[in-house]
Amino acid sequence: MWLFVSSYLIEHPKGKFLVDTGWERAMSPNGVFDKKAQIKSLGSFILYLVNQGVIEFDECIDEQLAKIGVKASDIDA
Amino acid sequence: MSNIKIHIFHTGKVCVSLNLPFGGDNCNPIKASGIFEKKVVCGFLFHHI
Repeated sequence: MWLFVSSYLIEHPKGKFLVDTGWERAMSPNGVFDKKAQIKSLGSFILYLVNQGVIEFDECIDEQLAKIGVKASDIDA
Repeated sequence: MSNIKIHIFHTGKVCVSLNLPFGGDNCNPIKASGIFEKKVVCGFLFHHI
C-alpha cells in the first residue's frame, strides 16, 4: 500500500529546522512512478527493492518551501 | 512562552507492506515492527522542553 511521506519544517525562535526532506524530483522526474529513474536516483537496484516511491509535481520539499518563501539557505538544521 | 510553528508537508508517497501499518490479515506485532520487511517508514518524536 502507498503511504504519504511527510516532512516537517519547525520554525522556532532559535532557528528553522527541517525534519526529513522526502523524495527528490529525480525519483519521479515526470511526477509519476518511474522505476528506471528511481534506480538511477537511489544508485542501485537493491535500494530500489526497499525504497519505492513516487512524488507528484509541486510536492518536492524545495518546491513546497519556495511556495511559503523559504530558501534552503534559511534552514538552520 | 516560545512561539513555535510546525509546517507539515507531504513530499511524495512510499510503498510499504500492509504488515507495517495494519498487520495485514494476520496481525503480528513482530511482523508489524518491520524487522522482517524490506520496506520501512520513519517515525519522529518531537520532545520540546
